[in-house]
Amino acid sequence: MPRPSGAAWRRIGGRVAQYALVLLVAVSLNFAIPRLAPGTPIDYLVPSEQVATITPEQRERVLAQFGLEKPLLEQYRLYLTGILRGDLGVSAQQGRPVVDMLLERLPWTLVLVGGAITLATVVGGGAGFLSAARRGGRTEAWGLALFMFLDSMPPFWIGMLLLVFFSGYLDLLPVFGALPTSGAAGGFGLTLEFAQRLVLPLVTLTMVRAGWLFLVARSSLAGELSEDYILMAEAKGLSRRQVVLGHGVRNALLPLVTAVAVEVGTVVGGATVVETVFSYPGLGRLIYESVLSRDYLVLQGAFLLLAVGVILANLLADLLYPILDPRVRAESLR
Amino acid sequence: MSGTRMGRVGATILLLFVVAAVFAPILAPHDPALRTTQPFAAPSFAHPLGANDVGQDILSELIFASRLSLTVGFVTACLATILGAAVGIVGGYLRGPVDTVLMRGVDVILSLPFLPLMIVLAAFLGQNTTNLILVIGLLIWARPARLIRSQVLSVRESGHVQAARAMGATHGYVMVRHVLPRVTPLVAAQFVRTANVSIMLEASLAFLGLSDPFQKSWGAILFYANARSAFLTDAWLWWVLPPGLCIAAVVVSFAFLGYALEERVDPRLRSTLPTSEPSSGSGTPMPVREDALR
Amino acid sequence: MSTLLEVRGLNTVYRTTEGQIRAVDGVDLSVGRGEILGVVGESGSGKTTLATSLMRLIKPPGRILKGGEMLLDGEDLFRLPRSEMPARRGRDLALIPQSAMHALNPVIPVDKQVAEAITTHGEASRKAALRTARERLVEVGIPPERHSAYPHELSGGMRQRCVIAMAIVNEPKLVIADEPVSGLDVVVQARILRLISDLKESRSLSMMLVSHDLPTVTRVCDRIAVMYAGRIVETGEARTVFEKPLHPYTRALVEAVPRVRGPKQDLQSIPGDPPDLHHLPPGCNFEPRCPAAFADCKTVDPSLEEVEPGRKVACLLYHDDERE
Repeated sequence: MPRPSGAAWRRIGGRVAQYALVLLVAVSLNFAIPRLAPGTPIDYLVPSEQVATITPEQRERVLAQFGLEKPLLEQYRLYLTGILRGDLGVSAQQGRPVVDMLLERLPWTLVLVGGAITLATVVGGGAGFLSAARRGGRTEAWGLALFMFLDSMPPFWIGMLLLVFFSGYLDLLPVFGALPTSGAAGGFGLTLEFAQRLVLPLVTLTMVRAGWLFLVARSSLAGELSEDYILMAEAKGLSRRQVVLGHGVRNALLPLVTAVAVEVGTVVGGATVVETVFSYPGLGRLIYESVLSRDYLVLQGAFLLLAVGVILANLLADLLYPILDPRVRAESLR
Repeated sequence: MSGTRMGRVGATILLLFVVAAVFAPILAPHDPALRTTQPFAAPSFAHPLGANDVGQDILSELIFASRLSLTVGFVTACLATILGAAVGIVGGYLRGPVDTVLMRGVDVILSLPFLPLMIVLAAFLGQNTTNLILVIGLLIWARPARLIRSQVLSVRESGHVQAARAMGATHGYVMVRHVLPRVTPLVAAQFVRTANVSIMLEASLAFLGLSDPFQKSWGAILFYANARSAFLTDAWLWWVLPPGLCIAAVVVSFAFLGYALEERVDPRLRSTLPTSEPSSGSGTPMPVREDALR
Repeated sequence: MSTLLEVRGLNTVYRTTEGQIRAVDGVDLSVGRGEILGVVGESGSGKTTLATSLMRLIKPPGRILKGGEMLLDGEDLFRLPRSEMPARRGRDLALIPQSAMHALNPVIPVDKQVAEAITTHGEASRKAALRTARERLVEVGIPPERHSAYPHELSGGMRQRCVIAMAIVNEPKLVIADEPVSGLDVVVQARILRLISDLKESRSLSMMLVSHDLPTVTRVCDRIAVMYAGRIVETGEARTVFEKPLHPYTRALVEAVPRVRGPKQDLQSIPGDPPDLHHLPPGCNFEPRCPAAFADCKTVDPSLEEVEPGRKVACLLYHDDERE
C-alpha cells in the first residue's frame, strides 16, 4: 500500500486540479452551446408557446433578467458566479429554481445508476473472470454468447420487453413512476413501493451494462493468465486457484477499474432512456421532459449535474489506480 | 462456437443487412412512407409484420430503416476508431506533456455524459443525420483512446519495444511497427465497440424522438411503438420485437466479427473451445508459450 | 553419482490448425545428484516444451502422451494425480522459466513473492517466510534495501537473481532452468552463471539447464544433451561434446560460436531452415541440412546409440551395423 507522503498528496492535488479544469471546460461548453446555436436567446428562455406572442417590453425584460445585453465576457463571469452560488436559473415551464428541480430528482438517479453499476460490475466482471479462468469449457462458450447478446441489445428495448412480460402478462410489478401519484402509503409501504418500481429499471440497466464489463474482465484476465509470471507462480507450487485469484485477478482489476469509471458516463446515458421507458422520476426522465417542453435551462442544468457526477467517478478511479498498480504509482511520483 | 465460426456468423448477418439496405426498394413489399392498409393492422399475407398507427407497412419500414442505421454505425465507427487509436497510441507512447494534453481532452469528452450532451446538442442544433454522425463520432472516440492508451502504457514497457527504442528506432517507427500490432486486438475490439455504441446512440436518440423526422431508423420505429403503447397489446410481437431484434442482430454481428478478429491477431485471446471433432482443425489455437513452433 | 531424475519415453504433442505435432519426441534423459545437465538446441527444438513438461505445466492444446515415465528419486511424477502436482512444484522440482525478466508479478514486492513460495508449501508463518525469503535474496546477491522493491524497480540481472532465489527457496531436489541468462548483457550473464555454479557447490544443486548457447552450457554443465526437432541427438560429458562433437548438428552448433580470439571470421549460422514439425522428413530429421548426409539418411531414422562409454549419438555415421 502506498504510504501517504508529500508526493502522494501533490499527486492527488494535481488530479483534483486537472478535473477542476475539466469541469470548467464542461461549464464553458454549457455556456457556449446556446449562444452558438441557431436562433435567438429568447427562443430558449421563455416557454415555447409564448415565443410567438412575446411583446418587445417582455423581451427586454427577459434579456435584462439574464444579462444578455451585456458583453459576452461579462455574461460568462455572471454565469460562472451564478453556478458557484448554486444558481442555475429558473425553469421556463415551472417557474421554479432549476437547482431545486435537479436535487429533487438526483437521489432517484443516484440509486438507479449506483445500483446498476455495482450489480453490473459484480455480475458481469465476476462472470468475465470466471469465463477467462475456465477457458475451453462449454460454460465459457455459452457465457460469452449470452453476454455478447446482452451487450448488443438496446436498453430501452429490453425495458419495453420486460414491461410486456412483467406488467402486461404477469401483472407483477407496477409500470409507471417510482412512487404512487396518489395513495398515502408511508414508511415501510413507501419503501416497498419504491423498491418495486426500482426493480425493472435496475434490472434493465444492469442487464445491458453487465455485458461490456464481462468482456473487459474476461479479456483482461485472459491476458494476465498468459503472462510469464503466472507460469512462475504455478511453478512455485501455488494451486491454479491461488494463481488465478492471487495473481491473475489481482492484476486484471486495473483495466476493470478503468472500464467501470468510463462506464459511469454510459450508464448515465442508459439511465436516460431507461428512466423514460419506465417513467422513473430521475434526472434522465427530467432531461426527456425538458426536451419535450423545450425547457432549456433545466436541460442544461441536468446535463451539468451529470457531468459533475462522471468527473467525480473518474477522479475516484484515478486515485484508485496507484493503489492497485505500483508501476503507475512510480510513474505518477516521478 | 469457435472464433472463426463466430466471425462467419457475424459476417453473414451483417451481409444480410447490407444487402437489405442496398436493395431496399426491391425487397420492400410496400412504400414505407405510404399508408397501405388499416392502422394497427395485424400481420397478414400482404403485410407480414402488420401496420403501424398510420397504416404503414412495418416490414417495409424495417428494411428501409437498415440504410440509416448501418450508415450511421459504420461511418461514425470509422471516424471514432481512427481518431481514438491515433490519440491513444501517441499519448500512451510519448507520454509527457503531449499525453497530458491529449488525455485532458479525452477526460473532457468522457466527463460529458454523451447521451445527455447529444440530447442537448440535438435540442439546440436541430435534428439531421449529418449532425448526428458528426456529434456521435466526435464524442465517442475518447473511450477507445483511453483504453488503447492504457494498454500502450504497458506495451511500451515490454521487452521488444524497449529494445527497438534502445536500438535507436524513431518514435514513429516504433509506434507503427511495435506498438500498433500489440494493440491491434484492442483497436479492432474498439471498432466493434464504437459501431455498437453509435448504432445504439442513434437508436436511443431516435427512440427519444430526437432523430431526423424525415428519416426513420429502427429506433424511430420503436419511438412510435412506445408512444402508442404497443407493448401493452399483442402488437408488441410485430411492432416492438422486430426493430429491436434488428438493432441487436447488427450490433452482435459487429461483436462477433470483432471477436474473430481479436482471435486472429492476438493468440492470447484465443479461446480453446472444444471443437466437435478433436483435431478437426478450424479454430484450434496454436500453443501460446512454445518455442518449438516459432 | 547416483541418479536423481530418470526420464523415459517422454512425448509431448500440440494440436494445431495443421494437425498434431510432436514437440518432444520420445526423450530419455537422466540427471545425477549434484549434477548439472545442459540441454542445448536452436529455438524450435523443443527445449522449452521439455522443461515445461517436466513441471507438468503443459497447457492445452498441448499434452503429455501417456506411457512416459519421470522418476524423481524413484517416484514417477507422471503417475501422480494432477491435484498433487502443486505440492510438488517448487519443493521437489523448481522452474526458472524462460524470459525470467517477466517471471515476476509486477504489482507485488519481490520479497513477498519469494515468501509466497514458502508459505504455499509449509506451515511457516508469513513473518518467518518473509525472513527466510530475505535470507535467500541476500544469498543470491540482492542487497537488503532492495528486498521490498517492485520488479520494475530492479535491473534485469537483479530480477533474474530474484527468480533464482524463488526457485531455490524450498531446497528443491531438482531445478529446471530455461534460458536463465538470455536477454541479459554479457557481464551480467557471467555473474548469473557464476551464481549458479556457486549455488551448485554450496547447496549441491541438481539442475537441468536449457539453453541455445552451447559455450555457456559447456562452462557450467557436467553433461550435455543436444536437441533437434524434439529429439535428443547427442549426449555426453560437456567438455568432450564441445571439443569433439560427433553429430553433424552439434558440430554446426560448435562452429556457429563466434571466436573471441584468433583470426577474424564471419559469424556462421547453421545453413538451412529449422525443421518444420508438421512435415518432418522420413529419414533423419537433420538430413535436409546435413553436410555429411548420404543416401541412407533419407530413409533410415537413426536411433540414439551408445558409441563410447557415456556418449550417445543419433547419426548413421556412427552406427556401424546400419552402415553395412
